[in-house]
Amino acid sequence: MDNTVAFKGIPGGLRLVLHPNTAWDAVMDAVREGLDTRRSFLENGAVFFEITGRSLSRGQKKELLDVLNQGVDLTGARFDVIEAARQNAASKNRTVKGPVRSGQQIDCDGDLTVIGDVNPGGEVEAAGNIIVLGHLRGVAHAGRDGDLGSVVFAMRMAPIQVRIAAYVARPGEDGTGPALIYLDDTHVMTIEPIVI
Amino acid sequence: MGEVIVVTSGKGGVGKTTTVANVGTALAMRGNKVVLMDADIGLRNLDVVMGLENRIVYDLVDVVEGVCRLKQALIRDKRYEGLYLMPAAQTKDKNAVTPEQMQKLTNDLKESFDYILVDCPAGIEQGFRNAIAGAEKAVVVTVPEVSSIRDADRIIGLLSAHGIAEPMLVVNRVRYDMVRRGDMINIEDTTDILGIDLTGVVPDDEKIVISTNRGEPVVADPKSPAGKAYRDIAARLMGETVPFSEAGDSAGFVSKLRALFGKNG
Repeated sequence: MDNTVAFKGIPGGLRLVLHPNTAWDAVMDAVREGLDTRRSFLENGAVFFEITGRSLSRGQKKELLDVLNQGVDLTGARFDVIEAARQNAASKNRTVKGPVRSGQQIDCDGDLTVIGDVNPGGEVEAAGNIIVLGHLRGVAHAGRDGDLGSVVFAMRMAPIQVRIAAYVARPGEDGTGPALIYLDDTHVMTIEPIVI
Repeated sequence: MGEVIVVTSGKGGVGKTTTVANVGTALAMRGNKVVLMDADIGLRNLDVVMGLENRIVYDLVDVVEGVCRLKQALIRDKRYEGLYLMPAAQTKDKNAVTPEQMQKLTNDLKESFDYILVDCPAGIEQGFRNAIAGAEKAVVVTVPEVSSIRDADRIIGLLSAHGIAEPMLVVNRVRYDMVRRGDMINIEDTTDILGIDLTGVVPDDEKIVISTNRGEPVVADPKSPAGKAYRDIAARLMGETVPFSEAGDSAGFVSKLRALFGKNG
């Protein structure tokens, strides 16, 4: 079977990973087909669906829910578009010229690049990574929608505060040279000096 | 056609009024026609610093409301030719005028004066918006302290959002002895954060306190280090190139002695 729709078991239900670029009708056909082959499994009890892989219009969501509802004790469905968002991020990336001054707030749905400084009291926020080609002295929040893999890079790292997803750290305002801040496997915020 | 320059800082108490009084006086001493405009409605100070408090009959709000003519509210300075004060009202508040009215007022003044220096109130609310409304240039005053620099940074951002892109920076109340010991933020770090051109560095000078209480700008005192700094700023506003010197400042008794011995020995 092709990868138009991948079915994966999750606690209490099924995850459907929809291919982002396949025609919608083909996706729906694959969903119907996949549900039919798993009918016996689905009739065993309450099922929760998690749908991910591509962002859907309201009409597409309704169509999909109608299909999922047939002959299934549906407890709910969650549409999770992190994967899709990541693939669309390229168009949402943003580059701004600094300095980002005190009281200014820069927000971005993709990766954010600041050419210049982020001053104390200034805030930069991105759904993806944050790259400061200058002195980071303010607040940076990477992965603000929950992406734990996001990083913060600055040519000089002296931020008041760095946040990645829901984690907050105060790396210290003494300042270092170029550095990268990321979450390690145990979600501890790690600062890694970069030698250029 | 004159130039409207707003003197602002965000934070209070860093020396906006003192800067307006002294730089304005220095500009007048050099033959310019100057208006010092107090935009701090409800908390006026500039008249006191200039020693002109007892001459106020009409004020800025009276002009805007049409109670008097523009010329009637302008107070001629008692010492310097060509120097005038436009006092703020003390009994009203910032909402007594609008940015549009301030713009008209400064436009009218521009026709007959070379420089209009606007003393901006602290803060970033209505009073700030009024004060910058008619200005085409700005001087941002800061002292070498973290909180003051932070506010100056905010102000620079707001000024640029209002179309005043490259304000001039005055670092006030610098103590070179403390800077040398590393106990005070130095000028370089200040300009590094703020990223705008330096127009003046004013050393901390106790003569300022004395002259402010007396209502006589210190700029006329040839011996005052701060006075020299203000004269330099005025010259730079007029487009002259004046080198920055640490002169005046380090001129403590000991360093003068040291220089003397150095020369002789």
